This record gives sequence, C-alpha cells and structure tokens, in this order.
Amino acid sequence: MSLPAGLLDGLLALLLVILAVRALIAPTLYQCAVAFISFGLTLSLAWARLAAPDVALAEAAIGAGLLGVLLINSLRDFSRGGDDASAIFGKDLPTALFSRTVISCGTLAFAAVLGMAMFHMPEGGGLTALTEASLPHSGVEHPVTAVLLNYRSYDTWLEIGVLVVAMLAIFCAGGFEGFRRPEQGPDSDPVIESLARLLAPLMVMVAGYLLWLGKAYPGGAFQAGVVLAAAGIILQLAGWQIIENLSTWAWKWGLGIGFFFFLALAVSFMPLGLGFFEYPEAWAGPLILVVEVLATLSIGLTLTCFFVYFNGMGASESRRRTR
Amino acid sequence: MSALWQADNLPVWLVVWPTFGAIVLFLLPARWRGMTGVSFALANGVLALVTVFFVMEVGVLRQEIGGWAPPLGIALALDGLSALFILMTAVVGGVVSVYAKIYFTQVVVDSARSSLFWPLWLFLWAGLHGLYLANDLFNLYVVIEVIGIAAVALAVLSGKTRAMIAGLRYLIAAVAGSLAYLMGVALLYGSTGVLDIDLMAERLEPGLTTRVAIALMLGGLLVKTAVFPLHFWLPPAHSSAEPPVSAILSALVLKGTFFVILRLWTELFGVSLTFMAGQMVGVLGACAVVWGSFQALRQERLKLVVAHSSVAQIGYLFLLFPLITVPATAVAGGFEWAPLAWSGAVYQVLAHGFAKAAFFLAIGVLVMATGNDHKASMLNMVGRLPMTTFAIGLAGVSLIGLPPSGGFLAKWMLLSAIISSGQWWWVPFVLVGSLMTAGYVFMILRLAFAPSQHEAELKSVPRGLQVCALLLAVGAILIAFPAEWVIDLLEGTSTFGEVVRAGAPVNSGEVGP
Repeated sequence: MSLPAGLLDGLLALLLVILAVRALIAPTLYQCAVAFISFGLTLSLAWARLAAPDVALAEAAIGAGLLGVLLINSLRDFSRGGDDASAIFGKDLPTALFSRTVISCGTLAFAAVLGMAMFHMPEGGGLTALTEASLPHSGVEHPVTAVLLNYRSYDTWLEIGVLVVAMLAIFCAGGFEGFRRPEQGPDSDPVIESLARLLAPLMVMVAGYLLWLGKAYPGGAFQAGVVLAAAGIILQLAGWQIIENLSTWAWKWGLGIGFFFFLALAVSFMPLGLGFFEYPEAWAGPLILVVEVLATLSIGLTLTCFFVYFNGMGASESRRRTR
Repeated sequence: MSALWQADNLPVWLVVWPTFGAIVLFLLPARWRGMTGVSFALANGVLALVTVFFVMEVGVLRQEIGGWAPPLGIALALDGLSALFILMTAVVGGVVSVYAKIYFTQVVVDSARSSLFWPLWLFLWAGLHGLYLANDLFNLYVVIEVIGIAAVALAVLSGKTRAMIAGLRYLIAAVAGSLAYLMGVALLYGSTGVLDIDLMAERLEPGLTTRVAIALMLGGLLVKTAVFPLHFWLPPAHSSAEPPVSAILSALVLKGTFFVILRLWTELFGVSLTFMAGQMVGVLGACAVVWGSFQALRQERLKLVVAHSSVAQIGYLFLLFPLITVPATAVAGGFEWAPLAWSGAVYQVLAHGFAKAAFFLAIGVLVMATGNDHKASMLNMVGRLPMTTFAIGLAGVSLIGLPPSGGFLAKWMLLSAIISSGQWWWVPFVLVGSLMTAGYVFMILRLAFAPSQHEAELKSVPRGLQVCALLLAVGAILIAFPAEWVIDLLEGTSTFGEVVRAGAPVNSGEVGP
C-alpha cells in the first residue's frame, strides 16, 4: 500500500469512530442525525476503499440517503417538544457521568474483544473461487448479482418480503392502511419544483442505468430501487402527491409485485422437474433481469411510501393536536 | 430433480403456502381478509399433518434450493424436531386464527386497522416454517428478521399508547438481538468460508474467534427468547397486545428462537463449548424460573401475571443445556438421561405453547366481558363464565405441572433427567418454580370461586371465543397421552438424545454431497 493511500485509510477509520461517537453523544437530536448521515457517507467511502463497491453504493443510498431523509423528517415532528438529546444519559450530572463512563468502558471492552476475535480469525477461504467458477451457469456476469439473484435467491426473495412486512408494520403503527392526503395543499416552492422537474427524470434514468449495470458490474435492484425512491421523495417534496393519487389496487400491487413475481418464478419451473428457485440455464439471464426490474419498482415504491406515510401521519397527528 | 407434486418438495410448500397466503391477504380488501385468512390457516394445518406423516415414514429430508448445492446455495432440512414444531404451530395457530376471526370481526370496532393482523400473521407463520427448516446461518438471520418485524407489528396492532411504547422496546431488543447474531455469523463465515450448518460443523475449529462468535450468537438469541435477565421487553409487549396476538407471541414466537438455540447448540457449537457454558445457561434458566414466578405472584393485572409466567416457563427450557453438555473427559456412553432431558424440554415447549395460548385467549374473553383485566374481575367467574374459568383452570394445571397434563410430563421428565444426571442442584429450582406457579394460578382460581358483593353486568361474549380458549386448554392436558408417539417422531432428529461433548468436534452424522 502506498503512503497516501495508507494515510487516507487511517483518516477514514479515525473519522468513522469520531462520527459514530458524535452520533451518539451530540447535544441535540438534529446534530445526532446529521452525524449519523455523515457516518453513513464515510462508511460508504470505507467500503469503496475495501473494494466492495456494491456495499458502498447500498450504504450511501440507504444508510446515508434514505435513512437520513426519514430521520430528519421524523425529527420535525419530534422537535415540538425540543430536541435535547442529553437526557438520554440521565437527567442529573452524576447519573449522566456515571452512565457515560459505563457505556464507554463497555463499548471499549466489546470493541477490544471483537478486535481480538477478528485478529485471531483462521483463514476460512470464503466462496469467491466457487462463485467465479459457477458464474458461466448463472446467467449474469457480476458475481454479487449471481449470489443475490441465483445462488442465494431464496434469501434475497425473503429480504424483499421483509420490505413488505415493514410497510405493513408501519401501517400498524400508524393505525391506517393507505395514504392520506394532507388537508391543505402543498406549499408550492418554485425552486424545489423546478429542481424536481430537472432531477426526477435524471434520477429515473440513473436508476435504470444502475439496474442494467447490475448484470455485469456493481449495481442492481436494491441500489436502483433506492435511487428511484429518491426521485419519488423529491417529487413528493415538490407537491406532486403521486402516491396519494394512486388507487388502492395500484399501490398494493406495486408494493407486492416484486415479491409476488419472484415467488411465481421460483415455483413456475417446478412442474418441468426443476427445483425451487431453479431456472433453465439459457433463460436465467433474461428472467433475472425481469425479476430485478420488478423488484426495483417495488423497492422504490415501498421506500417512497415510507416517506409519504410518515408525512401523512405527521399531518394527521398535528391536526389531532390542534383540535 | 423433483416434480411439483413430489413429496420431497414438502419443505418448499411449507414456506411457499403461508407466504402466498400473506401476499394474497395483503392484496385483498379488509372485509375479505378474515375468512380467507382462516382458510389459509386451516390449509396450513393439513400441510403440517402431511409433513408429520411424511417424516414418520421417510425420516430426515434435505432439499437444495435453486439447484445449487451448499456451500454456494442454500439447503433446507426437515427432521423430527422441525416436524413437531410445525405441527404445534399449526394446531395452536389454527385455533388462534379462528379466535382472531371472531374477535376481529365482532369485537374490535376498527376493522380496517385490525384486518392488518391477517397478512402479518401469515408472514409470521411463513417465517416460523422457514426457521424450522433452515440449515444455513444467514438464511436463519433472514427468517429471524421476518419473524421479528412481523411480531413487533402485531404487538402494536391495538394502537394503544401502552402497546406502542412496549412495541418500541420490543423492536429495539429484537433488532439488537439479530444484529448480535449476525455479527457472530460473520465471524464464523470468516473462519470457515461456509454458511451451511452441516458443512460448518465439519470445518469449525475451537479458538478465540469461535468462542466470541458463539457468545454473540447465543447472546442475541437469548435476548429474543427473553431469557432472564434479558427478558425486560417481554412483559409489557405481551401484556399490551390484542389477545390472539399475545397468544401467538408467547406460544410460538418465543419457541422459534429456542428452536434455533437448541439446533445450533447440538449441531454446531459443541466444538467450542465448555461444561461451564452449559451450567451458565442453566443458571440463567433457573433464575428465570424463580424471578418470573415471583414477579407473576406480585402482579395485579391478569395479563401481566401471564406474561411474567412466560418468563418463568421459558426458563425451564434452558435447564436442558447443562444436562446435555458434558465435559470432554466424561466416560463414553451411559448418558441415559439425555433422551429424557430432550423429551422433557420439547414437551415443555408443547405444553407451554398450548397452555399459555389458552390462558391469553381466556383472559381476552374475560376482558371483553368485564372491561378490564384486574384480578378482582375474576370474582365469582365460575358461575358467570364457567367455560372460560374451566379453560383457565386446565391451562393452570398444565403450567403448574399437575398430572395428567403436558406440563406434568415435561417437568417430570426434566426432573428425572436432572436426578439421574447427578446435577442435583437444579432440583430445588424446578420444585420452587412449580410451587410458585401453583401460587399464582390458585390465587386466580380462588377469586373465581369467591362470591362478590356488587356484580357488574357482564357484556356478552361470542361463544366461539370461549370454545377456542377451552380447546387449547384441553389440548394442554391431552398432549400428555401421545407421548410415545411424540418421542418416536423426535427420534427422527439427528442429534436427539445425544449429549454435547464440550470441546470435542461435533459428529454431525451424514452430510449432503
């Protein structure tokens, strides 16, 4: 490793620790959220340095981007009661000092044990060689895509299911199934509106590109889905209300289609004597592409719906409060 | 190669059917969900029966997914233990589904909200099937997540503030638990390069990394199973949920992570376990028995009594681990208590599953009739709600461990195993636990027979609800009778009745190609 690269890595590692600590102990919730977002971005750089561009993309898009939006959005509802974060460690000074010391010592000890465990880890070899060797039969050229959508497609399918479950969980917590239109129309901000007109088509294009790229290079459904969701959120902020205008059938099918189609595909070749999630080798490539397109749509829609639902919930809650 | 209808696709259908149900229920409008949900649940029951008969006839079944053999692909494994858990889930889940159908259509006003129960419950069911069949550490993580999120969502279904606060705690505990588990899996994958449990058991070497990984995974799973002192999230979450949800959470969801611990302990962890590790887990279990029972005695609200009682009853399960973990120096052979300990723990799972579900459903009836769940509302219930009181009585008999009941069999087998293993120090905990359980059960029943001065008018409760509670309570007694059959089924588990030799490599038996 060259000296500048080593310096960069050291700096990244240091920054990660500082930001992580900052995200925990910043005096206000807002500062915690900002530190957390910066932590996500730095972490994605670290993944890139570790030659894991797929993880880096996902971390930047989900860890920093989407979670950041959801955090800041929720903070707006919190901050009416003040966003002082210092009370987490106890109200009076001695308690706070004591709990901080205990937590810091515990964390350090845990980190030390974990570090030693990693340092002593025997060389397991991993599955890289096997993954590469089976690549010609997988229908795609990028090993990560092959693992996600062919070798371990069962896990990926369940993960997409987790998103549907998460949406249902949010409906449960919010108390209604569906999306409420805010009572007063959105404030039209010409800057945001023209920005949205400019950015949204571009982002949809980037999503499509990431999706197509996934066949042979880092990228794929999850990353593309998040970019699509970002476009959806920007349009929402500009007052487009796309989700609220969808019919119930449309958003339900939109949320479920990625998971449902994946399942249908998984069983559809079983009458031909193939196994669960087994595709004919010649068709694997195109089929995986269709799964990825539908999964991208579902993921993008689900993540946008998270945001839209929280917004609608905040609106209905503040309505309840003013009454 | 396997055609659609062939029996060796059974594991696939066990996952596909409830998942298909979940997605269909999500797409359906609220008013159609109840009936459809019950149909899917009953079909699950048929599937479970087929599974049990299949396992009795054919034995262990392994199936590779996607045409890729491990280590590249994922395999599912179906054996006696999984079949028994699937059957319990089907029976308890089936009755709870019928109860939920009646409860959510006739009792709860906001049907648009409560109909969310159905897709979530089927997702949870699918997750449980996936868990019982998983043979891959990462696949286990994914199904644990499905179960965890669906369970938290169901816990906050009522929308009451108390449920929301409890649900948030539950969520944080559940996520922390799964992350700890995942961290351990990462360390093990780094050390062995495989995720399949059988393959990993062949390759795993003892060492610091393995030990830290096991501690992390075990710690995470213990949080999710609510083992003392990591049970803090359970009483508020289980006591504030809707009755059918409480029944599902305590009867089924807790048993899921216990199943994982049992499987990993006997099939994978042995290489780096010590005799003391088994003893330590046993101490946690013993403390849970005493502490949970003590807390249950102190509660004023019935739902909290029952929730704390879950902490105690789960504690019994963890007395299994010290009994089946022997020092590496132990003389070979002569561990005749191990099958007894195994059967005892599995019986405790069944007995608690039936009895606790019955208990929660019966208290749901009581709350509907009287409007609250304070102990005083039990006054003179034996004359006014005889069927429900009877259900509570039967479930209580099984929880205490009075003969003839599933609970009696479980505690009797555990106690015999403890005595013949020579680890006599667990005996007082089992006995004291039973006495304290008798304390809180009889306290409730005593009130039921006591006359009350000014009786408030009871609201009418649909008869079907009372029948459901009674059915499960009777089940908790009846499961004592087919014990030989259950143990026969358990014999179809590769590690059944074996002890884990601390520090010795696990002899995992036959491993796939």
